[in-house]
Amino acid sequence: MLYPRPLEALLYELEKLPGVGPKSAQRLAFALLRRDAQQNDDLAGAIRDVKAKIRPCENCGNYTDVEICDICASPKRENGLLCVVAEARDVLAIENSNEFFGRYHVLGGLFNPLEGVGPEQLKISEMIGRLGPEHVEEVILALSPTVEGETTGSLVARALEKHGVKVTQLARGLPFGGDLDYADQVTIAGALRGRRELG
Amino acid sequence: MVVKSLHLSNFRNYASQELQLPPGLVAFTGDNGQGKTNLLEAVCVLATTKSPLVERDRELIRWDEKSARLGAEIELPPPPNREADVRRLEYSWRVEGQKVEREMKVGGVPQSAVASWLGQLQVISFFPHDLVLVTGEPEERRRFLNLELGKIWPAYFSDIARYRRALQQRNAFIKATYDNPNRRETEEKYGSLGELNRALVSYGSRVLAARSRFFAEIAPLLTETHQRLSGLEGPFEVEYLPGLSAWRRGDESDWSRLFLQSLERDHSDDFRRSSTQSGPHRDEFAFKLGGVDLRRYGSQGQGRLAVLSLKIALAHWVRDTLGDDPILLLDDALSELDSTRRELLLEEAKSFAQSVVTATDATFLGEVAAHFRVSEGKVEPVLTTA
Ligand SMILES: Nc1ncnc2c1ncn2[C@@H]1O[C@H](COP(=O)(O)OP(=O)(O)O)[C@@H](O)[C@H]1O
Ligand SMILES: [Mg+2]
Ligand SMILES: [Zn+2]
Repeated sequence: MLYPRPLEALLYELEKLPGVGPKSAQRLAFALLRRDAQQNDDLAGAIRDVKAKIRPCENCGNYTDVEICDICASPKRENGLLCVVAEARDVLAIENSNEFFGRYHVLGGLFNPLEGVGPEQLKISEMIGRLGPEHVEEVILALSPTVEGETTGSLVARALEKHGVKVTQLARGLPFGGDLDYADQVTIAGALRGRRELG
Repeated sequence: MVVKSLHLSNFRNYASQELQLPPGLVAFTGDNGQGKTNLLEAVCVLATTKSPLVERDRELIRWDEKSARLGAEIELPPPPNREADVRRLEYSWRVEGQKVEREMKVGGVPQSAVASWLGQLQVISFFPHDLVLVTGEPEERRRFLNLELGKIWPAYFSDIARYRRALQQRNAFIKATYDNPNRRETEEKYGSLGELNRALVSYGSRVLAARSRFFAEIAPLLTETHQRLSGLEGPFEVEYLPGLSAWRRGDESDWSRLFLQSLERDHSDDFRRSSTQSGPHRDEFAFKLGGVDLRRYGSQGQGRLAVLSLKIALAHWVRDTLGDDPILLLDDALSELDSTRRELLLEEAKSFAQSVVTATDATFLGEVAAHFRVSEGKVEPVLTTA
């Protein structure tokens, strides 16, 4: 099917977004076409702003539009309790649970040699630097229950060893079934007939 | 357990077939190329979601068809004072362009995870192709272990998956740091290799422990089975050979320690070869008859008897472990045996709640619970005592 060029360009850009296939790209594009020009300008502006104005908090790595994020700046937050996460988006997930009142530290990834991420690329020394000034007594590791999450967790735990803080781990939220699904894709097919060698 | 009924549509050379099966020994006979093996393959697919004979699901769908379906009713042994439980399994494929979509249902409820499907139907199968267990590469034997242990211990599957991932990470690390001494230095400061070793050892030692437990448990069953089948006195054994450089014969005390010692010992080797030399990914096992390694020195007949003994011992092990009989499937296992062993094998088969055998020739079958004739993808009953 042939679309006018501007529409084609919009579809092309929309489809690059995660979770957007050809069908939903079409639905979005036609919805945008029907809207007021002003509404679309607002959307375009917001998209432009998000990249221009959002940056990592200089203290914890969380998303912010100022130097120090609201969580780090808030006097209501408990000093002494630090929750370590892999990505800034994990902060939001934990905030949404309304269960945690300490502060965060975003590592900026997980130790993952397959993707070329070594421990020196993670913000581990930045985390160590916060322990004294923020009187941290307990570090909670909230990392995914994958091989990468577990190795990163023990790297962080070992870096904390000589600093006399308590290190705990978030109770595993992943249902048992989730673990097995993982085994499903990776293993079962291989074990049954696949040509993949163990390792 | 017992397969009470079987349904095939557009599976291999079957257009549409319904079958009622009794407990006990069930025989399918017919000329070559009529569909006997396909029938046993269908039962295996229902048990494990995959064919033991081919990689691609596409080959299972009848030529020129766009979908296929398998169904079975499984009868579980009755709990005390209650009626037997019947479980309904349905498995179907739909060709969508280049892809083949699968759907699995238990009692009409769609299943998303293969893990929840495995175990619904426990089958131990022998196909002539299984001779590769003796003659083939170590990879064939590891695949056998992974499937058979995973069917009984679901946690084994997730340990293997994690082990494999940790191994990939460790190998990637070794490769990256070997080429780049700077990086090696910074990463050694963080103790990255130590962490990767720890992860590898924690998953890997569970795999090693499961495998060594399996071999310890199956050992006596295997020796007895082989003796019954062959009538030979020479002891038949399967010997577990863990792929750890620090392992010495007989030392199965502490897998974590042995694995860690091996990694330390292999350190420079691993870096030189950019891969991990020790671990369950290098495991192997040997078939030994009177001390002779059949992988190298066995005759075709010895190999065949070894694999048959392994499969039947495995069925006994599954029975002991689960407290319920698996279904034994023997494809074309009789033709190459002499008449004494053929009878012995049929006796073994009859000791299970249900077993299914195929043969080209019906004359040496003896007494069976049901006998079907297979011809051009159609099955007709010959005689039923039920
Ligand atoms: N996908 C398929 N569609 C139709 N026929 C098939 C398919 N796959 C195999 N066949 C046919 O099935 C027959 C082999 O059946 P098989 O069960 O191996 O025979 P046997 O009775 O000797 O064990 C062959 O005739 C082959 O052409
Ligand atoms: Mg055949
Ligand atoms: Zn912050």
